[in-house]
Amino acid sequence: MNDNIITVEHLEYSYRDSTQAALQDVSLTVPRGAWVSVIGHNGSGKSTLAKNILGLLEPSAGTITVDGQELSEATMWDIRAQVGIVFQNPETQFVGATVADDVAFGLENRAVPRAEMLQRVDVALQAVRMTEFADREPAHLSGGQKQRVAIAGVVAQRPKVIILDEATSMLDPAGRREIIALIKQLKAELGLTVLSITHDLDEASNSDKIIVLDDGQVVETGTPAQIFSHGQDLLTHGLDVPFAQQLQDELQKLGVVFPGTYFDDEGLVDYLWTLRSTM
Amino acid sequence: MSKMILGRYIPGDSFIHRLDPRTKLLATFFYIAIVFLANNWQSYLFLTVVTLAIIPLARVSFKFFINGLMPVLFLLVFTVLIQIFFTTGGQVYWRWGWLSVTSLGLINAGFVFIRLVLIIFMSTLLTLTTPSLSLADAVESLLKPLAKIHFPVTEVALMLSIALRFVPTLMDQTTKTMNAQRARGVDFGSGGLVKQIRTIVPLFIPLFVSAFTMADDLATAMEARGYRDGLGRTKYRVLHYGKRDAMTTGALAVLTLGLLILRR
Repeated sequence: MNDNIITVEHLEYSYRDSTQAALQDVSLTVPRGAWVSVIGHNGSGKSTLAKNILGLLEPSAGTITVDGQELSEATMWDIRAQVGIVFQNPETQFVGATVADDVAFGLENRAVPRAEMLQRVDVALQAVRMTEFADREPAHLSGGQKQRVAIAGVVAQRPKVIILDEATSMLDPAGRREIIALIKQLKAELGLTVLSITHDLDEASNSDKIIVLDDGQVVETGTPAQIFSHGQDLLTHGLDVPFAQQLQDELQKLGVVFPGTYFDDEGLVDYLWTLRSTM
Repeated sequence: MSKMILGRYIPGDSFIHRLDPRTKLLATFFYIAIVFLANNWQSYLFLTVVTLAIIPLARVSFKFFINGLMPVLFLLVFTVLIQIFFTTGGQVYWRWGWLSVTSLGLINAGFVFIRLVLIIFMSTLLTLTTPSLSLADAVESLLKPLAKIHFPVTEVALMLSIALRFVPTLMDQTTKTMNAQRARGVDFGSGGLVKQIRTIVPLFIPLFVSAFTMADDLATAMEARGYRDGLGRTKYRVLHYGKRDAMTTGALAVLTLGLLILRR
């Protein structure tokens, strides 16, 4: 399938007072309907990439195309309508005075008529299971609940793409799993494309495609199996190794023979199970 | 902090709670204005009876109203004492130098006391039954005519609502920073004035910096969600005047009329 919803070509970006470019000649594609993860160590340019795609930062060179529209001053607002982003800090991206107000904020900006707005806010809150919190103020919500509200705000806008800019990094493991499961469910229901920027390799191992950024450059692109089968080599890019691969490496040291491919948790269990039954 | 009644909201579903916040705000201002119409004991009695009849409509414990008096108790006592000792006229009961207790002084002191208490009761009623958010909406709606003279009403309203929404967040941040600095040995609230001001610096600087970061993050998030400026936006939250608001207006008219008849 050659239908890419986001195409980035030769993107360059440098922050004003830094000597090194934050992004250097970055080219990547996000297939429509896929879950794509961008991974990399702190300062590898992941968040800068996300802000460039939304036109929040202006690239010094290169082109970005979202759903057939090339990003420019003129198309910026149309593209922002197509792409919803959930940021890292649940506290500082909450604009509204209550949950419902916050979900409605993006719709107010797009001058959606009030009758339709009420209905879309309701649907979005239901989708993230926050209906009974509609009149709550943000001070009374947990971090995970605030992130769910942020997702509802994005869902109400009905975008084609959701960008998760380390959206789960400030949550506890339970909250993190819950948010990921929720996005997965919404992605299936609404036919979304997800571009997830993350540190969490176990989360990235479930995506369709992984893009590895290191010091502002794309160093590798591939399926999780391709990327993670490098094992310890990932450490040179400042990344960690997912748990299933770590386990595989440790077992290998103890003499268990593996075919050299990456297994996710389930695949590893399956492999170990077949290995045992043939002995 | 828990004793603070100012700006505290008691959720409920009474007649007063369901009034339009604009009505409540305007009615409170109007009430404070007409309290000054009363100038004899009949009119004060009438006002007191009416006010005490309104308060139960909010179905809020009377204790909150008494608590509302506490922060201004000093002011109340001070004003009453000034009235008692410095007003001259009428029958003289007691005199010492330029201090005197006279019948007129006592009557005036009583009137001032009732007037202040009634005004405080009514403002407490407003804040107890109206969330700050609705008050912000009311202010926005009431300021709307100013848009004609190019006053940025929607922007001011947005700033007001963001400010209100960040109050608990910043309070949280303050407590966290204070505790973090305490853990490093900063002793808040002890020593002389200069030393106390000095201990404030390691609290204020990080707070300002984090406020800047928050503002930057929030602006980015707002822009990402399509916020351009106040123009051409629709509104999720709208206010409607209802039957109750008409009834309140009527009640205020009767109250004003009654006061005008009773005053000398």
